[in-house]
Amino acid sequence: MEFWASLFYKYRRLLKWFSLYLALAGPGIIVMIADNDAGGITTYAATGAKFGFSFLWFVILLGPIAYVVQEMTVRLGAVTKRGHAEAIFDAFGPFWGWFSLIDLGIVNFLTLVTEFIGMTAALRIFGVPPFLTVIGVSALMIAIVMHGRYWTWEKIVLLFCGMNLIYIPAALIVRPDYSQVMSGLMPAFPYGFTGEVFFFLMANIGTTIAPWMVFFQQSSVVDKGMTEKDILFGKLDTAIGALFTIVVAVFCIILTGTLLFKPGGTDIESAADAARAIMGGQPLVGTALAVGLFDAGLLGAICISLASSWAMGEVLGWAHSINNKLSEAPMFYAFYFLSLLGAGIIVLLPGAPLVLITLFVQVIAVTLLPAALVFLIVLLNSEELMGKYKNTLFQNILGFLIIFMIIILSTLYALSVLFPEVFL
Amino acid sequence: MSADEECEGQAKKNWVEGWIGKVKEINQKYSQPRLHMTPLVKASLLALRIYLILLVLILVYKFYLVVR
Repeated sequence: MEFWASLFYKYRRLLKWFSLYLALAGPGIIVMIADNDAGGITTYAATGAKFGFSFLWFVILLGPIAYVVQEMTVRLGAVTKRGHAEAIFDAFGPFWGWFSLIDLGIVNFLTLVTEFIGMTAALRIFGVPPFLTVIGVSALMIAIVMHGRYWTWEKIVLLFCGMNLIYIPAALIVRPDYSQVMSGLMPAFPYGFTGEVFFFLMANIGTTIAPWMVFFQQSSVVDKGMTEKDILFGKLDTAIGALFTIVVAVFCIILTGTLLFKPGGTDIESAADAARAIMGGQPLVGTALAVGLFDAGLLGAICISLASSWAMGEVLGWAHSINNKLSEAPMFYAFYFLSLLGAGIIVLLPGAPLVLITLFVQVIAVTLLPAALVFLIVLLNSEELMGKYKNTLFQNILGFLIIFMIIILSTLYALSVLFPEVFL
Repeated sequence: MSADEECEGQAKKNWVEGWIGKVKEINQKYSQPRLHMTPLVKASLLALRIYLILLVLILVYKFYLVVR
């Protein structure tokens, strides 16, 4: 009898714990899955078509890296109750604060453009003209944030996150060669160390960890009202998100690696082109790729425009919560709408090299990332700010290793641009 | 200059002055950073920023080469 009572008690405790997790889950999953945005899907599709399964191991490695970075934002947000932009101004003063805010503003706007590029390209496959996509998507995104409730916004966005998993069944349908897939899990550089390899590796890092994610998750944790006692749930949420993001990335690479890769590599113009090429032989899979690309762009656009609006609101002192109604936070919502409008207009400009812009924006984002990470680690090491939640030595070593790796890769890529003959 | 144009000009001037005032207010609010950094740390952070901006300029150059 005592055994059953104890079992029931444990079951009730687990159920309560799980209910609490469900209530607190969101920021980590959203930021990680939105990270597989239109640029991300384009990069994964291009990586699979160009290098087959060769860099699966590298993409898997990016999961723990993304977790290490994002977990720090959970602690910082929950302990300081400040968004990242405000935390930088407060800790380092206005010079570094403005520097970071301008950096973020430029990179976020460029990334937002890439989201619209992805969405318009995806819907063009189904005959929807780009101007209609821009208008429709902007209206949808405005409707999503206009509820005036963080909870509602989060649940709608989580629904879109679920759609991002469409690449898993799509990749399974094409029946990949699993022995080849397994061989891609072994770390190797079968294509040597060329400028192109560096570019693709950096683009993959850029899709997995980006400056906007740091700002977004910290602001999101604050807007949701998470505190120190919720940190464990925040970490779990982030870990689950990191797992999902890498699973989707891997399956996307498996998909294009199976259908489009040929010895010597296949250059694809974009994920939308990949979808169009696949549609000829596998209409269902091609459609899944296009729908997934649209969903990825939409998720990315929602999160990136919010990351910018939160950061601006924190620094400029505007009311800046999704819990505010339009009349309560007019500047916050105006900035959100205007950034959407600006990015949408750029995509409609005729003759713009949209695919090239997408790949370069990923690489620019990752090149600027170390500066944001250094600030993050310095903040996390402050006893005054973080108390017992400050970084451990191990977390610092991991953080600086990530920064070091990104700087080395960025430098190698820059050298390959300046001295291409050395990296042939 | 018509009265309307004058009014519009004044509104623009007020708008710009409002923003300058806002930036000054923010600079004042955060003028005492909570974390103290030694000059060496400040110089290292600045050097890192400049280096990263240089790398981005190389990327922009590469982008120009490809587009051209």
